[in-house]
Amino acid sequence: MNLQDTLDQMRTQFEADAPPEAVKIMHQATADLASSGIMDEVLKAGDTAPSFTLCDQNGNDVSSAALLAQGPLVVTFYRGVW
Amino acid sequence: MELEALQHVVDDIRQAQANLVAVSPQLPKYSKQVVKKHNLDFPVLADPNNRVASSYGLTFSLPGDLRDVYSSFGIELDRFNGNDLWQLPLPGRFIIGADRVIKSVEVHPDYTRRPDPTQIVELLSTI
Repeated sequence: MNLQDTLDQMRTQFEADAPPEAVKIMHQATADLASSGIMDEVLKAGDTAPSFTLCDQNGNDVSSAALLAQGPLVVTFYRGVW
Repeated sequence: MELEALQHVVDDIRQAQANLVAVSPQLPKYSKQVVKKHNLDFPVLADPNNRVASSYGLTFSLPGDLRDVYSSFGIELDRFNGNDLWQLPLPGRFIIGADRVIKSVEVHPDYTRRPDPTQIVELLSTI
């Protein structure tokens, strides 16, 4: 099963179990976010990637410039463990 | 879930002479847990206050009613993120060329939609 199928399955299960009012609020928030114009602000292909230096989970600095010196870089933005 | 799926392609990404990092607003101690739990061998970087996410145009604030819903599920973002901003990044994946130019962007305002990690290797071969 690919990632999206797994996520769809999780979503269906979650929405079956969660209070309907909570599901309604979550759907509304997603719709509001989609129509908020935020997607116009997201950087696009062809833009220059902002550089960054951040700490990894062990407290070591990781810099995008150092990684890009080795080749392309895949950056995934992750919301959290919850 | 997504990080686990990325772990499955990290070797292929490296074969393509590329690197992979995840960026998250959560405190490093939570990232440490997720790295350990899923045996990730790519870094999960701490992005305090979503500073980097904002530079990519991804940061948004959760509305009050949604904060209440998250809290009711035990998702207290103030605890996870170490601030009371209740802000998150849109989940997004960027592929950046060695020339610093963004080659591919996958961002969706619905957080339950994610690009399949297997596309990454294919995309890297076109750079």
